[in-house]
Amino acid sequence: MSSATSQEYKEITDEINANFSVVDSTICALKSELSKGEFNTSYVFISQNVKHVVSYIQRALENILSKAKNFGNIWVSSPLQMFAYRGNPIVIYEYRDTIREFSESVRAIVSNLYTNVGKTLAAYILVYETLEKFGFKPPFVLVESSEFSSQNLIDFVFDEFETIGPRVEYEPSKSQVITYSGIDVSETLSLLIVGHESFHIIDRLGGVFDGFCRATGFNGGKRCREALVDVMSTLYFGPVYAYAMQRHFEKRYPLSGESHMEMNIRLLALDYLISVLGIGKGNEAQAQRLTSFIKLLEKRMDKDALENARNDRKQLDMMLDKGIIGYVKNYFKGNGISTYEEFVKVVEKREFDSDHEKIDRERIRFMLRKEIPAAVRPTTLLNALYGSGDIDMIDSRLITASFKKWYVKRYYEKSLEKK
Amino acid sequence: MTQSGSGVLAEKYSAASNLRREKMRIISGITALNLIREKRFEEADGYAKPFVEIKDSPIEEVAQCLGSGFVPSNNETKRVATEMVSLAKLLSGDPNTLQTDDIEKSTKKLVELLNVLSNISRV
Repeated sequence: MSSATSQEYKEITDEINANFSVVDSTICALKSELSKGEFNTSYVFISQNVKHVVSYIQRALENILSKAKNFGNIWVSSPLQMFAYRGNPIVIYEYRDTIREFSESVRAIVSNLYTNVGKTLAAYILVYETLEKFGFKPPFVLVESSEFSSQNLIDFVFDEFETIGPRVEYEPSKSQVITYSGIDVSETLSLLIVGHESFHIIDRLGGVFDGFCRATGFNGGKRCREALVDVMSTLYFGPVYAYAMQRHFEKRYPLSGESHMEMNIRLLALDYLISVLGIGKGNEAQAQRLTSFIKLLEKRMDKDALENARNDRKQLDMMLDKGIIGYVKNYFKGNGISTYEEFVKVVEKREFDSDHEKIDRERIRFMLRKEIPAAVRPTTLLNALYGSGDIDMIDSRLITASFKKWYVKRYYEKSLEKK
Repeated sequence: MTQSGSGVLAEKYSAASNLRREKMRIISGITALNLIREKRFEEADGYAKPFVEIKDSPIEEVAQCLGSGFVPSNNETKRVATEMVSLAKLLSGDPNTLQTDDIEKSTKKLVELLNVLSNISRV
Protein backbone atom coordinates (compact mmCIF):
# COMPACT_ATOMS: atom_id res chain seq x y z
CA MET A 1 0.00 0.00 0.00
CA SER A 2 1.53 3.35 -1.02
CA SER A 3 1.67 6.22 1.45
CA ALA A 4 -0.69 8.26 -0.74
CA THR A 5 -3.25 5.48 -0.50
CA SER A 6 -2.70 5.20 3.24
CA GLN A 7 -3.35 8.89 3.52
CA GLU A 8 -6.50 8.51 1.47
CA TYR A 9 -7.69 5.62 3.66
CA LYS A 10 -6.98 7.68 6.73
CA GLU A 11 -9.13 10.52 5.43
CA ILE A 12 -11.99 8.16 4.65
CA THR A 13 -11.69 6.47 8.04
CA ASP A 14 -11.80 9.87 9.71
CA GLU A 15 -14.90 10.77 7.75
CA ILE A 16 -16.65 7.52 8.63
CA ASN A 17 -15.71 7.99 12.28
CA ALA A 18 -16.99 11.56 12.20
CA ASN A 19 -20.34 10.41 10.84
CA PHE A 20 -20.69 7.71 13.47
CA SER A 21 -19.77 10.09 16.25
CA VAL A 22 -22.68 12.26 15.05
CA VAL A 23 -24.87 9.15 15.33
CA ASP A 24 -23.60 8.43 18.86
CA SER A 25 -24.09 11.94 20.11
CA THR A 26 -27.57 12.17 18.52
CA ILE A 27 -28.75 9.06 20.36
CA CYS A 28 -27.07 10.08 23.64
CA ALA A 29 -28.61 13.57 23.44
CA LEU A 30 -32.03 12.08 22.74
CA LYS A 31 -31.72 9.84 25.77
CA SER A 32 -31.06 12.72 28.13
CA GLU A 33 -33.62 15.04 26.51
CA LEU A 34 -36.48 12.61 27.09
CA SER A 35 -36.40 13.23 30.86
CA LYS A 36 -39.04 15.80 31.72
CA GLY A 37 -38.83 15.78 35.49
CA GLU A 38 -41.83 15.03 37.68
CA PHE A 39 -45.06 14.54 35.72
CA ASN A 40 -48.43 14.34 37.43
CA THR A 41 -51.99 14.49 36.20
CA SER A 42 -55.16 14.06 38.24
CA TYR A 43 -55.41 10.63 36.62
CA VAL A 44 -52.68 8.47 38.04
CA PHE A 45 -52.91 5.81 35.35
CA ILE A 46 -52.21 8.38 32.62
CA SER A 47 -49.14 9.82 34.41
CA GLN A 48 -47.87 6.33 35.16
CA ASN A 49 -48.40 5.11 31.59
CA VAL A 50 -46.59 8.07 30.09
CA LYS A 51 -43.69 7.84 32.57
CA HIS A 52 -43.41 4.09 32.10
CA VAL A 53 -43.35 4.37 28.30
CA VAL A 54 -40.79 7.18 28.27
CA SER A 55 -38.42 5.47 30.68
CA TYR A 56 -38.68 2.27 28.64
CA ILE A 57 -37.73 4.17 25.47
CA GLN A 58 -34.76 5.70 27.30
CA ARG A 59 -33.49 2.29 28.38
CA ALA A 60 -34.02 0.73 24.95
CA LEU A 61 -31.96 3.50 23.33
CA GLU A 62 -28.87 1.85 24.88
CA ASN A 63 -29.43 -1.07 22.50
CA ILE A 64 -29.69 1.24 19.53
CA LEU A 65 -26.47 2.92 20.58
CA SER A 66 -24.55 -0.34 20.82
CA LYS A 67 -25.96 -1.47 17.48
CA ALA A 68 -24.74 1.77 15.89
CA LYS A 69 -21.30 1.17 17.39
CA ASN A 70 -21.10 -2.33 15.88
CA PHE A 71 -22.23 -1.03 12.54
CA GLY A 72 -19.64 1.75 12.69
CA ASN A 73 -16.91 -0.78 13.40
CA ILE A 74 -17.82 -2.83 10.36
CA TRP A 75 -17.62 0.22 8.14
CA VAL A 76 -14.19 1.34 9.30
CA SER A 77 -12.59 -2.04 9.73
CA SER A 78 -11.28 -2.89 6.31
CA PRO A 79 -9.85 -1.22 3.20
CA LEU A 80 -12.55 -2.84 1.09
CA GLN A 81 -15.31 -1.35 3.24
CA MET A 82 -13.65 2.03 2.91
CA PHE A 83 -13.41 1.52 -0.83
CA ALA A 84 -17.14 0.79 -0.89
CA TYR A 85 -17.79 3.89 1.19
CA ARG A 86 -15.74 6.06 -1.16
CA GLY A 87 -17.87 4.89 -4.10
CA ASN A 88 -21.21 5.10 -2.25
CA PRO A 89 -20.99 7.65 0.55
CA ILE A 90 -24.78 7.99 0.51
CA VAL A 91 -25.00 4.82 2.59
CA ILE A 92 -23.30 6.34 5.61
CA TYR A 93 -24.97 9.75 5.17
CA GLU A 94 -28.38 8.10 4.92
CA TYR A 95 -27.76 6.12 8.08
CA ARG A 96 -26.66 9.22 9.95
CA ASP A 97 -29.64 11.22 8.68
CA THR A 98 -32.03 8.40 9.46
CA ILE A 99 -30.86 8.41 13.07
CA ARG A 100 -31.35 12.18 13.20
CA GLU A 101 -34.87 11.93 11.79
CA PHE A 102 -35.70 9.10 14.17
CA SER A 103 -34.48 11.16 17.12
CA GLU A 104 -36.56 14.17 16.08
CA SER A 105 -39.64 11.99 15.73
CA VAL A 106 -39.20 10.35 19.11
CA ARG A 107 -38.54 13.72 20.75
CA ALA A 108 -41.74 15.17 19.23
CA ILE A 109 -43.79 12.11 20.15
CA VAL A 110 -42.63 12.09 23.76
CA SER A 111 -43.14 15.82 24.08
CA ASN A 112 -46.70 15.43 22.81
CA LEU A 113 -47.47 12.63 25.23
CA TYR A 114 -47.18 15.25 27.95
CA THR A 115 -48.80 18.19 26.21
CA ASN A 116 -51.71 16.25 24.66
CA VAL A 117 -53.07 14.86 27.91
CA GLY A 118 -55.84 17.46 28.16
CA LYS A 119 -57.00 16.76 24.62
CA THR A 120 -56.83 12.99 24.88
CA LEU A 121 -58.19 12.61 28.41
CA ALA A 122 -61.60 11.15 27.46
CA ALA A 123 -59.97 8.74 24.99
CA TYR A 124 -57.49 7.61 27.68
CA ILE A 125 -60.37 6.91 30.06
CA LEU A 126 -62.36 5.00 27.43
CA VAL A 127 -59.41 2.83 26.36
CA TYR A 128 -58.33 2.18 29.95
CA GLU A 129 -61.86 1.18 30.96
CA THR A 130 -62.26 -1.12 27.94
CA LEU A 131 -58.92 -2.88 28.42
CA GLU A 132 -59.45 -3.28 32.13
CA LYS A 133 -62.86 -4.89 31.58
CA PHE A 134 -61.19 -7.61 29.55
CA GLY A 135 -58.55 -8.13 32.22
CA PHE A 136 -55.71 -6.30 30.48
CA LYS A 137 -53.81 -3.47 32.09
CA PRO A 138 -50.86 -2.79 29.79
CA PRO A 139 -49.31 0.66 29.95
CA PHE A 140 -50.51 2.46 26.81
CA VAL A 141 -50.21 5.89 25.22
CA LEU A 142 -52.13 7.73 22.52
CA VAL A 143 -50.14 9.30 19.70
CA GLU A 144 -51.25 11.36 16.71
CA SER A 145 -49.77 9.93 13.55
CA SER A 146 -50.38 9.35 9.86
CA GLU A 147 -52.62 6.34 10.35
CA PHE A 148 -54.80 4.48 12.81
CA SER A 149 -52.95 1.67 14.45
CA SER A 150 -52.39 -0.22 17.63
CA GLN A 151 -48.94 -1.66 18.14
CA ASN A 152 -46.55 -2.92 20.75
CA LEU A 153 -44.42 0.01 21.93
CA ILE A 154 -41.22 -1.70 20.92
CA ASP A 155 -42.44 -2.22 17.35
CA PHE A 156 -43.80 1.30 17.10
CA VAL A 157 -40.61 3.03 18.20
CA PHE A 158 -37.79 0.70 17.30
CA ASP A 159 -38.83 -1.66 14.54
CA GLU A 160 -36.89 0.30 11.94
CA PHE A 161 -33.71 -0.83 13.66
CA GLU A 162 -34.71 -4.47 13.21
CA THR A 163 -33.91 -4.02 9.54
CA ILE A 164 -30.26 -3.18 9.97
CA GLY A 165 -27.90 -5.93 10.97
CA PRO A 166 -28.37 -8.60 13.62
CA ARG A 167 -31.49 -8.44 15.78
CA VAL A 168 -31.39 -6.55 19.06
CA GLU A 169 -32.77 -8.17 22.20
CA TYR A 170 -35.07 -5.76 23.99
CA GLU A 171 -36.25 -5.97 27.56
CA PRO A 172 -39.77 -7.52 27.39
CA SER A 173 -42.60 -4.99 27.54
CA LYS A 174 -46.38 -5.13 27.24
CA SER A 175 -46.65 -1.39 26.61
CA GLN A 176 -48.93 -0.44 23.75
CA VAL A 177 -49.21 2.53 21.43
CA ILE A 178 -52.46 3.60 19.79
CA THR A 179 -52.04 6.01 16.92
CA TYR A 180 -54.82 8.11 15.44
CA SER A 181 -54.90 10.26 12.37
CA GLY A 182 -56.99 12.98 10.79
CA ILE A 183 -59.49 13.26 13.63
CA ASP A 184 -59.98 15.71 16.44
CA VAL A 185 -59.40 13.17 19.17
CA SER A 186 -61.47 15.09 21.72
CA GLU A 187 -64.62 14.97 19.54
CA THR A 188 -67.30 12.64 20.87
CA LEU A 189 -67.52 10.25 17.93
CA SER A 190 -63.73 10.12 17.58
CA LEU A 191 -63.63 8.42 20.96
CA LEU A 192 -65.25 5.35 19.42
CA ILE A 193 -62.75 5.33 16.57
CA VAL A 194 -59.99 5.22 19.18
CA GLY A 195 -62.09 2.63 21.03
CA HIS A 196 -61.81 0.39 17.95
CA GLU A 197 -58.02 0.44 18.39
CA SER A 198 -58.37 -0.75 21.98
CA PHE A 199 -60.01 -3.92 20.62
CA HIS A 200 -56.91 -4.46 18.50
CA ILE A 201 -54.95 -4.57 21.76
CA ILE A 202 -57.46 -7.01 23.24
CA ASP A 203 -57.25 -9.15 20.10
CA ARG A 204 -53.45 -9.12 20.23
CA LEU A 205 -53.10 -9.83 23.95
CA GLY A 206 -56.04 -12.25 24.07
CA GLY A 207 -55.31 -14.01 20.76
CA VAL A 208 -58.97 -13.69 19.69
CA PHE A 209 -58.61 -13.79 15.90
CA ASP A 210 -55.95 -16.49 16.01
CA GLY A 211 -58.18 -18.49 18.37
CA PHE A 212 -61.12 -18.13 15.99
CA CYS A 213 -58.99 -19.31 13.05
CA ARG A 214 -57.72 -22.30 15.02
CA ALA A 215 -61.14 -23.27 16.29
CA THR A 216 -62.92 -23.04 12.95
CA GLY A 217 -60.19 -23.67 10.38
CA PHE A 218 -60.76 -20.20 8.96
CA ASN A 219 -57.82 -18.70 7.13
CA GLY A 220 -57.95 -14.92 6.70
CA GLY A 221 -55.54 -12.01 6.52
CA LYS A 222 -55.37 -8.49 7.93
CA ARG A 223 -58.69 -7.45 6.40
CA CYS A 224 -60.50 -10.27 8.21
CA ARG A 225 -58.79 -9.38 11.48
CA GLU A 226 -60.14 -5.85 11.08
CA ALA A 227 -63.62 -7.28 10.53
CA LEU A 228 -63.31 -9.23 13.78
CA VAL A 229 -62.32 -6.04 15.60
CA ASP A 230 -65.42 -4.32 14.17
CA VAL A 231 -67.58 -7.18 15.46
CA MET A 232 -66.01 -6.92 18.92
CA SER A 233 -66.39 -3.14 18.98
CA THR A 234 -70.07 -3.29 17.97
CA LEU A 235 -70.86 -5.98 20.49
CA TYR A 236 -69.23 -3.88 23.19
CA PHE A 237 -70.05 -0.27 22.30
CA GLY A 238 -73.44 -0.88 20.69
CA PRO A 239 -75.12 0.96 17.79
CA VAL A 240 -73.32 4.24 18.47
CA TYR A 241 -70.14 2.54 17.22
CA ALA A 242 -71.69 1.92 13.77
CA TYR A 243 -72.86 5.53 13.70
CA ALA A 244 -69.36 6.77 14.59
CA MET A 245 -67.85 4.67 11.79
CA GLN A 246 -70.39 5.96 9.30
CA ARG A 247 -69.72 9.59 10.25
CA HIS A 248 -65.99 8.93 10.11
CA PHE A 249 -66.23 7.45 6.60
CA GLU A 250 -68.45 10.29 5.43
CA LYS A 251 -65.50 12.61 5.89
CA ARG A 252 -63.13 10.54 3.76
CA TYR A 253 -62.71 9.41 0.17
CA PRO A 254 -64.03 5.91 -0.39
CA LEU A 255 -60.57 4.37 -0.09
CA SER A 256 -60.03 1.73 2.54
CA GLY A 257 -56.30 1.20 2.22
CA GLU A 258 -54.82 -2.27 2.06
CA SER A 259 -55.39 -3.64 5.52
CA HIS A 260 -59.11 -2.90 5.92
CA MET A 261 -62.11 -4.28 4.11
CA GLU A 262 -63.74 -1.77 1.76
CA MET A 263 -65.83 0.83 3.58
CA ASN A 264 -69.14 -0.33 2.13
CA ILE A 265 -68.53 -3.90 3.31
CA ARG A 266 -67.46 -2.74 6.78
CA LEU A 267 -70.63 -0.70 7.14
CA LEU A 268 -72.74 -3.50 5.70
CA ALA A 269 -71.32 -5.82 8.35
CA LEU A 270 -72.13 -3.31 11.10
CA ASP A 271 -75.64 -2.84 9.73
CA TYR A 272 -76.11 -6.60 9.66
CA LEU A 273 -74.82 -6.98 13.23
CA ILE A 274 -77.12 -4.30 14.56
CA SER A 275 -80.15 -5.88 12.95
CA VAL A 276 -79.21 -9.44 13.97
CA LEU A 277 -78.58 -8.40 17.55
CA GLY A 278 -81.71 -6.26 17.60
CA ILE A 279 -79.84 -3.33 19.13
CA GLY A 280 -80.84 -0.62 16.67
CA LYS A 281 -84.57 -0.68 17.29
CA GLY A 282 -86.28 2.67 17.49
CA ASN A 283 -83.79 4.38 15.22
CA GLU A 284 -85.15 3.57 11.79
CA ALA A 285 -84.21 6.95 10.35
CA GLN A 286 -80.55 6.22 11.11
CA ALA A 287 -80.85 2.72 9.61
CA GLN A 288 -82.17 4.34 6.41
CA ARG A 289 -79.34 6.85 6.41
CA LEU A 290 -76.78 4.08 6.78
CA THR A 291 -78.27 2.07 3.90
CA SER A 292 -78.27 5.13 1.64
CA PHE A 293 -74.66 5.92 2.55
CA ILE A 294 -73.55 2.37 1.74
CA LYS A 295 -75.18 2.74 -1.69
CA LEU A 296 -73.50 6.11 -2.20
CA LEU A 297 -70.12 4.60 -1.34
CA GLU A 298 -70.67 1.86 -3.90
CA LYS A 299 -71.42 4.44 -6.58
CA ARG A 300 -68.20 6.29 -5.83
CA MET A 301 -65.98 3.20 -5.89
CA ASP A 302 -63.80 2.45 -8.88
CA LYS A 303 -63.44 -0.93 -10.61
CA ASP A 304 -60.58 -2.14 -8.36
CA ALA A 305 -62.35 -1.13 -5.18
CA LEU A 306 -65.54 -2.90 -6.31
CA GLU A 307 -63.54 -6.04 -7.06
CA ASN A 308 -61.94 -5.82 -3.60
CA ALA A 309 -65.39 -5.33 -2.08
CA ARG A 310 -66.64 -8.51 -3.79
CA ASN A 311 -63.73 -10.48 -2.31
CA ASP A 312 -64.24 -8.88 1.09
CA ARG A 313 -67.91 -9.83 1.00
CA LYS A 314 -66.99 -13.45 0.34
CA GLN A 315 -64.54 -13.45 3.25
CA LEU A 316 -67.05 -11.79 5.53
CA ASP A 317 -69.77 -14.30 4.62
CA MET A 318 -67.32 -17.09 5.34
CA MET A 319 -66.51 -15.58 8.75
CA LEU A 320 -70.21 -15.34 9.54
CA ASP A 321 -70.79 -18.91 8.37
CA LYS A 322 -67.97 -20.06 10.64
CA GLY A 323 -69.78 -18.41 13.56
CA ILE A 324 -67.73 -15.29 14.25
CA ILE A 325 -70.56 -13.62 16.19
CA GLY A 326 -71.03 -16.62 18.46
CA TYR A 327 -67.27 -16.93 18.93
CA VAL A 328 -66.92 -13.30 20.04
CA LYS A 329 -69.97 -13.59 22.31
CA ASN A 330 -68.38 -16.62 23.96
CA TYR A 331 -65.10 -14.76 24.32
CA PHE A 332 -66.96 -11.94 26.07
CA LYS A 333 -68.79 -14.44 28.27
CA GLY A 334 -65.54 -16.19 29.18
CA ASN A 335 -64.20 -12.86 30.44
CA GLY A 336 -67.38 -12.00 32.33
CA ILE A 337 -68.29 -9.19 29.90
CA SER A 338 -71.84 -8.48 28.78
CA THR A 339 -72.44 -7.83 25.13
CA TYR A 340 -74.29 -4.59 24.46
CA GLU A 341 -77.74 -6.22 24.26
CA GLU A 342 -77.22 -7.96 27.64
CA PHE A 343 -75.64 -4.82 29.03
CA VAL A 344 -78.79 -2.81 28.31
CA LYS A 345 -81.13 -5.49 29.63
CA VAL A 346 -79.20 -6.43 32.74
CA VAL A 347 -76.29 -4.17 33.77
CA GLU A 348 -77.76 -0.84 32.78
CA LYS A 349 -81.19 -1.72 34.22
CA ARG A 350 -79.60 -2.84 37.49
CA GLU A 351 -77.53 0.33 37.75
CA PHE A 352 -80.43 2.61 36.89
CA ASP A 353 -82.63 0.89 39.48
CA SER A 354 -80.13 0.70 42.29
CA ASP A 355 -78.35 4.01 42.00
CA HIS A 356 -78.78 6.37 44.92
CA GLU A 357 -79.25 9.15 42.48
CA LYS A 358 -82.08 7.79 40.29
CA ILE A 359 -81.10 8.03 36.68
CA ASP A 360 -82.20 6.73 33.30
CA ARG A 361 -81.47 7.51 29.66
CA GLU A 362 -84.09 10.26 29.57
CA ARG A 363 -82.53 11.93 32.61
CA ILE A 364 -79.04 11.62 31.10
CA ARG A 365 -80.22 13.47 28.02
CA PHE A 366 -81.92 16.09 30.18
CA MET A 367 -78.75 16.65 32.21
CA LEU A 368 -76.55 17.06 29.17
CA ARG A 369 -79.00 19.40 27.49
CA LYS A 370 -78.75 21.49 30.66
CA GLU A 371 -74.94 21.22 30.43
CA ILE A 372 -74.61 19.07 33.56
CA PRO A 373 -72.06 16.24 33.20
CA ALA A 374 -73.55 12.79 33.85
CA ALA A 375 -71.50 10.25 35.81
CA VAL A 376 -72.57 7.15 33.88
CA ARG A 377 -70.68 4.48 31.95
CA PRO A 378 -69.36 5.72 28.59
CA THR A 379 -71.36 3.09 26.68
CA THR A 380 -74.59 4.19 28.36
CA LEU A 381 -73.86 7.87 27.87
CA LEU A 382 -72.91 7.63 24.20
CA ASN A 383 -75.80 5.35 23.25
CA ALA A 384 -78.32 7.47 25.17
CA LEU A 385 -77.23 10.53 23.17
CA TYR A 386 -77.14 8.57 19.93
CA GLY A 387 -80.66 7.22 20.55
CA SER A 388 -82.10 10.69 21.02
CA GLY A 389 -80.21 12.18 18.09
CA ASP A 390 -78.30 14.56 20.40
CA ILE A 391 -74.85 13.11 19.91
CA ASP A 392 -73.81 15.52 17.17
CA MET A 393 -75.12 18.52 19.06
CA ILE A 394 -73.69 18.07 22.55
CA ASP A 395 -70.40 19.88 23.18
CA SER A 396 -67.62 17.30 23.36
CA ARG A 397 -66.20 19.07 26.45
CA LEU A 398 -69.36 18.02 28.26
CA ILE A 399 -68.75 14.42 27.24
CA THR A 400 -65.19 14.64 28.55
CA ALA A 401 -66.48 16.17 31.79
CA SER A 402 -69.00 13.30 32.08
CA PHE A 403 -66.27 10.68 31.54
CA LYS A 404 -64.16 12.36 34.23
CA LYS A 405 -67.06 12.49 36.65
CA TRP A 406 -67.86 8.83 36.00
CA TYR A 407 -64.21 7.80 36.34
CA VAL A 408 -63.91 9.51 39.73
CA LYS A 409 -67.24 8.06 40.92
CA ARG A 410 -66.26 4.58 39.79
CA TYR A 411 -62.93 4.67 41.59
CA TYR A 412 -64.52 6.06 44.71
CA GLU A 413 -66.98 3.13 44.65
CA LYS A 414 -64.14 0.70 44.04
CA SER A 415 -62.23 2.07 47.00
CA LEU A 416 -65.33 1.54 49.17
CA GLU A 417 -65.59 -2.05 47.93
CA LYS A 418 -61.98 -2.69 48.93
CA LYS A 419 -62.69 -1.45 52.47
CA MET B 1 -42.42 16.38 11.27
CA THR B 2 -44.20 19.40 12.63
CA GLN B 3 -44.97 20.60 16.05
CA SER B 4 -46.93 23.69 16.78
CA GLY B 5 -48.15 24.86 20.13
CA SER B 6 -49.25 22.47 22.78
CA GLY B 7 -51.29 19.67 21.49
CA VAL B 8 -50.39 19.14 17.96
CA LEU B 9 -48.31 16.40 17.06
CA ALA B 10 -45.65 14.28 15.59
CA GLU B 11 -47.26 14.38 12.26
CA LYS B 12 -46.69 11.50 9.87
CA TYR B 13 -44.72 9.41 12.30
CA SER B 14 -45.76 6.02 11.04
CA ALA B 15 -45.29 6.64 7.32
CA ALA B 16 -41.91 8.28 7.95
CA SER B 17 -40.92 5.45 10.25
CA ASN B 18 -41.87 2.84 7.65
CA LEU B 19 -39.77 4.61 5.07
CA ARG B 20 -36.79 4.84 7.45
CA ARG B 21 -37.15 1.14 8.20
CA GLU B 22 -37.01 0.26 4.49
CA LYS B 23 -33.97 2.51 4.01
CA MET B 24 -32.26 0.72 6.90
CA ARG B 25 -33.13 -2.58 5.23
CA ILE B 26 -31.39 -1.49 2.04
CA ILE B 27 -28.35 -0.22 3.96
CA SER B 28 -28.23 -3.60 5.67
CA GLY B 29 -28.33 -5.34 2.28
CA ILE B 30 -25.48 -3.19 0.94
CA THR B 31 -23.41 -3.92 4.06
CA ALA B 32 -24.06 -7.65 3.63
CA LEU B 33 -22.93 -7.51 0.00
CA ASN B 34 -19.72 -5.69 0.96
CA LEU B 35 -18.99 -8.27 3.64
CA ILE B 36 -19.68 -11.11 1.20
CA ARG B 37 -17.25 -9.52 -1.25
CA GLU B 38 -14.65 -9.68 1.53
CA LYS B 39 -15.65 -13.34 2.19
CA ARG B 40 -16.73 -12.41 5.74
CA PHE B 41 -19.76 -14.69 5.43
CA GLU B 42 -20.53 -15.10 9.11
CA GLU B 43 -20.77 -11.34 9.70
CA ALA B 44 -22.60 -10.90 6.40
CA ASP B 45 -25.34 -13.30 7.49
CA GLY B 46 -26.55 -10.96 10.29
CA TYR B 47 -26.82 -8.08 7.83
CA ALA B 48 -28.32 -10.12 4.99
CA LYS B 49 -31.17 -11.53 7.14
CA PRO B 50 -33.23 -8.33 7.52
CA PHE B 51 -32.98 -7.74 3.78
CA VAL B 52 -33.67 -11.33 2.75
CA GLU B 53 -36.80 -11.53 4.94
CA ILE B 54 -38.83 -9.62 2.33
CA LYS B 55 -38.12 -12.13 -0.43
CA ASP B 56 -41.54 -13.78 -0.17
CA SER B 57 -43.49 -10.64 0.71
CA PRO B 58 -46.18 -9.48 -1.71
CA ILE B 59 -44.94 -6.50 -3.74
CA GLU B 60 -48.00 -4.50 -2.61
CA GLU B 61 -47.07 -4.96 1.01
CA VAL B 62 -43.47 -3.79 0.53
CA ALA B 63 -44.68 -0.89 -1.64
CA GLN B 64 -47.14 0.13 1.07
CA CYS B 65 -44.24 0.61 3.50
CA LEU B 66 -42.54 2.89 1.00
CA GLY B 67 -45.64 5.00 0.41
CA SER B 68 -47.79 6.92 2.80
CA GLY B 69 -49.88 4.16 4.33
CA PHE B 70 -53.48 4.94 3.48
CA VAL B 71 -53.00 6.12 -0.10
CA PRO B 72 -52.44 3.25 -2.53
CA SER B 73 -48.86 2.85 -3.71
CA ASN B 74 -47.82 4.58 -6.92
CA ASN B 75 -45.82 3.12 -9.79
CA GLU B 76 -42.47 4.40 -8.53
CA THR B 77 -42.82 2.77 -5.12
CA LYS B 78 -44.03 -0.43 -6.78
CA ARG B 79 -40.96 -0.45 -9.01
CA VAL B 80 -38.63 -0.01 -6.01
CA ALA B 81 -40.52 -2.72 -4.13
CA THR B 82 -40.24 -5.11 -7.07
CA GLU B 83 -36.48 -4.51 -7.36
CA MET B 84 -36.03 -4.95 -3.60
CA VAL B 85 -37.87 -8.27 -3.56
CA SER B 86 -35.94 -9.53 -6.57
CA LEU B 87 -32.57 -8.60 -4.99
CA ALA B 88 -33.67 -10.19 -1.72
CA LYS B 89 -34.27 -13.43 -3.61
CA LEU B 90 -30.78 -13.21 -5.10
CA LEU B 91 -29.19 -12.57 -1.71
CA SER B 92 -31.10 -15.43 -0.10
CA GLY B 93 -29.01 -18.04 -1.91
CA ASP B 94 -25.66 -19.45 -0.84
CA PRO B 95 -23.29 -16.42 -0.60
CA ASN B 96 -20.40 -18.62 -1.82
CA THR B 97 -22.04 -18.93 -5.21
CA LEU B 98 -22.45 -15.18 -5.73
CA GLN B 99 -20.21 -13.94 -8.53
CA THR B 100 -18.18 -10.74 -8.05
CA ASP B 101 -20.05 -9.25 -10.96
CA ASP B 102 -23.43 -10.00 -9.34
CA ILE B 103 -22.24 -8.47 -6.08
CA GLU B 104 -21.12 -5.31 -7.88
CA LYS B 105 -24.34 -4.98 -9.84
CA SER B 106 -26.57 -5.69 -6.84
CA THR B 107 -24.69 -3.17 -4.69
CA LYS B 108 -25.05 -0.49 -7.35
CA LYS B 109 -28.74 -1.29 -7.74
CA LEU B 110 -29.33 -1.05 -3.98
CA VAL B 111 -27.51 2.29 -3.80
CA GLU B 112 -29.72 3.51 -6.64
CA LEU B 113 -32.85 2.36 -4.79
CA LEU B 114 -31.65 4.11 -1.64
CA ASN B 115 -31.33 7.29 -3.69
CA VAL B 116 -34.87 6.90 -5.00
CA LEU B 117 -36.23 6.36 -1.49
CA SER B 118 -34.43 9.47 -0.29
CA ASN B 119 -36.44 11.43 -2.82
CA ILE B 120 -39.84 10.00 -1.94
CA SER B 121 -42.08 12.70 -0.56
CA ARG B 122 -43.17 12.17 3.00
CA VAL B 123 -46.38 14.10 2.79
